[in-house]
Amino acid sequence: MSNQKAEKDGKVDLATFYVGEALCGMDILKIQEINKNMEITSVPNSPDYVVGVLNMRGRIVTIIDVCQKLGLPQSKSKDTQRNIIVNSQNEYIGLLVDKVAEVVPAEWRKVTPPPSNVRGVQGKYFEGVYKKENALIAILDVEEVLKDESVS
Amino acid sequence: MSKKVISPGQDIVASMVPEFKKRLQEIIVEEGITELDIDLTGVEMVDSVGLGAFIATHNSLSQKNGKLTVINASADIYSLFKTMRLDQHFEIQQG
Amino acid sequence: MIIDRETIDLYIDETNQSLADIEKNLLILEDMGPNIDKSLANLIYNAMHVIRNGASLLSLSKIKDLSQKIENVLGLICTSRLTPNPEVVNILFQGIDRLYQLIEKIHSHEDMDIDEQLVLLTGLTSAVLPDDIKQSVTAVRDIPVPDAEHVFHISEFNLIQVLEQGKNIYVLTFDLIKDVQEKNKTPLNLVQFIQQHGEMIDSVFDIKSIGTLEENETSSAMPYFVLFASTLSYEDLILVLDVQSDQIKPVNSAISDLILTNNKTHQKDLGPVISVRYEDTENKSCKNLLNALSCELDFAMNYFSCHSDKVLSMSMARMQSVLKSLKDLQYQKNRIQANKLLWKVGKNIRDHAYQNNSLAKLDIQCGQIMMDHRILSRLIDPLTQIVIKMIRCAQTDIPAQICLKMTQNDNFIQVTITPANPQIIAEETYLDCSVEENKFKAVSAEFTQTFDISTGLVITIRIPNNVIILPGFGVAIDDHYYVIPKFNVTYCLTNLPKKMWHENNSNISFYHNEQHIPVVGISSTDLSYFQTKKSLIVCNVGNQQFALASDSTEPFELDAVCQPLSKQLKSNPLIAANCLLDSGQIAFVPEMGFLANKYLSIC
Repeated sequence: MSNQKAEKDGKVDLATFYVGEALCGMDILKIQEINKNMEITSVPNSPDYVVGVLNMRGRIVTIIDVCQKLGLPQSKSKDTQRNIIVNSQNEYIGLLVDKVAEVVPAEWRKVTPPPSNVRGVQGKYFEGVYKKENALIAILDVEEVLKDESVS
Repeated sequence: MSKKVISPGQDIVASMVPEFKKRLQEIIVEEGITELDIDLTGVEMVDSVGLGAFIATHNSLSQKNGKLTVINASADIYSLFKTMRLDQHFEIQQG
Repeated sequence: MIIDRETIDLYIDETNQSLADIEKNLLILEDMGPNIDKSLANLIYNAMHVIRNGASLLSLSKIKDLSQKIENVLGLICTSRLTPNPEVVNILFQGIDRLYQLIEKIHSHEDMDIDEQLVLLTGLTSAVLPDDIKQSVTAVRDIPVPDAEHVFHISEFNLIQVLEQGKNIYVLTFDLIKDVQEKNKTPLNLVQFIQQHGEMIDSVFDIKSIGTLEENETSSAMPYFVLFASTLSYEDLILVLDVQSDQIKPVNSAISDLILTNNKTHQKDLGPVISVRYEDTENKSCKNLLNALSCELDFAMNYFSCHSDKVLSMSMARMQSVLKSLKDLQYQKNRIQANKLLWKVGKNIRDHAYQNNSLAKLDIQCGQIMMDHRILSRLIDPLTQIVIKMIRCAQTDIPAQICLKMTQNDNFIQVTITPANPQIIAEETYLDCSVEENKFKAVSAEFTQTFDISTGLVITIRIPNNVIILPGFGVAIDDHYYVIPKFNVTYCLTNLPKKMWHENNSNISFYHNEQHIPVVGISSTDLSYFQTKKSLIVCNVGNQQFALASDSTEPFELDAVCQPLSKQLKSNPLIAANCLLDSGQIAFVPEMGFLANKYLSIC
């Protein structure tokens, strides 16, 4: 499987978080903010992974359930859930994750390409894998996660 | 009452108009022609100065109770003259 | 318009075809007697209109004049002022026959006489029209060229037709030397250029001033006057034609009575290309512009297969002009001077001061700023509350004076509220404005509070200039809020007796006003679900009528400000748009077509 990811260089700070049992990460620079706002209005007639929309200081932001999108079993811990707000293609979208963990400094050259299957999730959702001590951080490809499945 | 046909055979534009007008003047004043046909075969374009030449010719002929007719005008030139209502002053025929 | 042979050939083919259809349809219409089929009459009318439009664009003046006259008569048939009896149809056929001949002669272009047909047709139109309009058919109006000796003589009826398309009439003055030759252009360029923005009703050269061969100097002026009709305003026309303002003179006084006549309603169907519903008949200009747009669309559709880029681009340019005028009209329609509503804030503050025995004052400065009244009216209440809160915060023995200042730039309108004397509010005091803030956000406005040493507490509200406003009715359905576009709502029913519900093959309908109205639900189709609802919003989408079941006993009116839909929501067939309510909650605008199609069978 060939992942045509751009060759990256240098250092990166990875914000890590749990999606189900999987420890995922993303470049902290891509994150606008992380909040706990759970007054999410559901959107009728939408796929399961669209949790709903949120009024974020006057702006209507869509929240995607990353667990559902990746096809992982839902975790039970509602109070640790957070929205990670990112900017994708000129709009703000929220990624609902189960628990936020620490920021991990890393280097791109140490990131290895993802296997075709990361803990039951298709490899296409990840940019790569970073090994930290005894944990494996699966770096999310945000654009791939946000891609609209219903558009053929 | 005498009639003549003149065929410029080239575009009626600013660069050739002074010569053209001189020729027209000769025909009308010296030769005494009162019915003039200007044959536009081979003429693709008429610019503003060219139009002025037609109008001036019409004016000169009118003074002598004469008549100007434009014949063999291309579709474009015919349309142009009609749109600008020049057909109200002199006759225009399409080629 | 000057076009190539191919386009003319296409026009000939299309027109011949069209005339054959017109003849056929006229015979059918004649057979119907006094009870004619309006849609057939409109079909014939539109077909002739397209022929006339084409002739105008292609400068085929005799064809244009004759088809115009035939069109006038057909128009009278459409509005039932003339019955297509054998005598009338005979005259129409004579006109059409002549048209066939004119069309055949286009290339060889013999000059053919059309006076006989014109007289017959004019006779028809003037016999039927009411007296005040009868005159206009044969009457010729003189329109003098300002500052020159020329006068245009135009049939009044034609002028009225032009006015009915929402067009303004102008006299344009050009000097072919200065405006054309010296700009390295040709007369052909000039004519094509101006026809992109409107119609040349007539034109004339000042031939006297051009002189004779003897006296004429090559560089002297060549004055050329054009009587021009365009939907564009005077200012826009100056910009678009790139001329001096004294080269364009609006014609008003010479046709002032015609403009007034035009304001009386002449009901005219727009035909099959566009069908539009009008809520307010006072919106005549809008109707006229839509009429013009319909004409341009008709023409463009007929020449769609044409290979000539010139025709299509000309058509598109003209449609753009009309669309721009429509947009400007809508824009103007909703704008008022800000002070016309802002005074209410002042009054509220005075009332508040009176009730609280204080002498607090509000000073409002907004200049001549124009604003969309729908947004401004939503701001009155929160602005009032903010000023009151600021007054309450003031620690002073002298009456508090607050300044409300409105300024504007290209992107937004800004309102700042500050105390006249910065000292009266303690440093680092901030107002608790979460309720007001929600209301500002609901119209996409930004709200900030800052503390400044020199000015004290400054509240700033920034309202963007370009927002999408959707007038609608807010309702609650199944734990969600929706805004139903006003355009789609016919009425609302709150009394829903059980016996009026009907079920037929699992299609539910409600019986009201002697009609079975199909009922649509967002989340269910069961009768038991519908019977729990408090109201039915009867909606229309095109020709389809249905009732939407809602939980609100009374929908509230709202000029909703819509926010762009995110990518994920765009593919949701139920959701057309989303917006914020004053409470901060999110409401959806449903895709009305989707709802209409949910239930296709009607009882």
